[in-house]
Amino acid sequence: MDPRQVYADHIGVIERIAESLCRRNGIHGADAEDFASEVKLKLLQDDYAVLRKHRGTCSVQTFLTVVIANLFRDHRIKMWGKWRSSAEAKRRGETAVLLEAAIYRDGQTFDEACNTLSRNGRVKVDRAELRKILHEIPHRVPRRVDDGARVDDLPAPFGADDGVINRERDERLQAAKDALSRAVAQLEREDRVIIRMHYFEGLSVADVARGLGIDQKRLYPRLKKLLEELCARLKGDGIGAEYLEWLNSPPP
Amino acid sequence: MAMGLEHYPGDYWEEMAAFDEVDLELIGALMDGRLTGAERERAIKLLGESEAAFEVYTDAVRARADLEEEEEEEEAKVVPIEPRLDKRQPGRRRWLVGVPAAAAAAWVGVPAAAAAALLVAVLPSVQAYRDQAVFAAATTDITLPLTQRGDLRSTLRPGWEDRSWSVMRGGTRAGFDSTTEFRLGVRATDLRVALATGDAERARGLTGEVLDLLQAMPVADGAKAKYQGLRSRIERRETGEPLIAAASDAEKTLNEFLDSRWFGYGKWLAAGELAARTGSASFFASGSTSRFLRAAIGRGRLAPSDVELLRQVSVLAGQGVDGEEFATIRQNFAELIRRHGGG
Repeated sequence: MDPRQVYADHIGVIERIAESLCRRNGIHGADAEDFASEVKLKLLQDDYAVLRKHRGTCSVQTFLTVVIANLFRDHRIKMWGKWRSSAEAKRRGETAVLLEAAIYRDGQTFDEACNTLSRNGRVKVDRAELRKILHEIPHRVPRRVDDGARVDDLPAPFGADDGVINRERDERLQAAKDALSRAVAQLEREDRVIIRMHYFEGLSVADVARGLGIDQKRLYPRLKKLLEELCARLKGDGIGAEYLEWLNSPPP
Repeated sequence: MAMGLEHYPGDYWEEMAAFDEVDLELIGALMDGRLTGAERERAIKLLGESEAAFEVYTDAVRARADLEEEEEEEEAKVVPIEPRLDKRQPGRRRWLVGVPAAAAAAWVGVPAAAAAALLVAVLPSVQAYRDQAVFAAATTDITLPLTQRGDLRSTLRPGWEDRSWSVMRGGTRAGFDSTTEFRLGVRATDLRVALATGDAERARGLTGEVLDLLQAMPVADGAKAKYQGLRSRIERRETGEPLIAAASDAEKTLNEFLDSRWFGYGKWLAAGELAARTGSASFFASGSTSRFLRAAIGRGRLAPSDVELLRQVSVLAGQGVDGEEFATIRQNFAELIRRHGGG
């Protein structure tokens, strides 16, 4: 396999992979072009050294996809440190991930974030819906906390009088998260990966099945069984329906 | 160490420490389904223990899904309707975009590239037209796999039409809303099934419910008149094909009046629920049903959680439904009906 030829034959695919990764992570315009250029440069470097590492145990396109995803990870860490979209945002889909990145990672105001999303082209921009999403995803400390205008624009997590109730809520929530963490850790290795991919990364059942080479049809009952198992373990830890109902109920 | 949730960082701004060297080829081979036995175990172990590997893997899975979606969209634009050998280059096929035969005939003599360019520009409306036809399908056609069963009445238990909806207070609504349109669609299917089983009592009740729903709708007089006429005929104990034809006519008027995708959803989801309830495998094997599922999943503008339920149905239907799978499908359709019917 001539790596020069591979590169030439797959230049369109390389660009599309880079574009997909950027788009899904809220990177667009000049920043996305920079990343795409960085990818091409990296693949060309040292006489196509990266492509020469391909051993043939996966298809060329898949290899390129994984390599570029790895380059993207490096790029992301270089730009933003250890920023990661919250599990809640990933579960809610691309719009929530992009909104969260725009506001909490990039420090944009809500209006600026709406404009950024409308330029994306793939997501529907409905301001009322976006505001609702913003209320539902975890409130995170924005980078630019010294800019009063930007901080004021964001929904406050709670009012001054709600401190006690919210402390108790936070403690209970943390206890539930710890219990869930322990329950997930007790699953078989592959089951842990499945749960994480579907419920924490927001990947569809179809994508989870394809990614792991599992029969999609069998994955549905397997997920159901895993959820039952996790529920039983949570109940054993005192996290049952009433506990969750308290967490989800509005404060008095 | 096992990767549990405790590894999700609380502080999202800390700089990354040195991370594992990730075996990218191993991850790629897992994605391609080329690993078995010990190698597969090694790959799964890597995903479970290396944050870097897991992140790269999930990003790669998403990117691949995007590429495949783009490729499918490209392929959908070019469908052979009549592959012909190009006389200038023997053996080379000339592809034309699929169009109604009459339109294709009018294009004889137009250079293929120009025709394809024109049709690609028209294609979104062709696709939309096809989707519209799916959603506007009559309940007579949608429910055919059920209504042609001789044992349909005996397989439907009493109370089959109970949808456990909350009461809608017509006076407080404007009249046109997706919940009402959806419920009308569900009841259109239920009515068709009640008529097919000769159940006059149920058919009368369902017709009455349709009229109640239409009551709050402004300028629905044409549709109301048709359903009032139908109810009268049911009360006069008319039966058979003339009654079914009257119901079809009323439904057609309602469909034209509403011109609503939600009406279509109601019809299809109700039919799907009843088909699963009665174990009608032929419904799920039919081309019409798969066209509906494809349109609803791919272009239906539904919430991700709704799409996930329909995807599961599609997967089960695609491989032939049997046994417990009917129960799973029924649960999915029942949940969708509950969500959109205001349950």
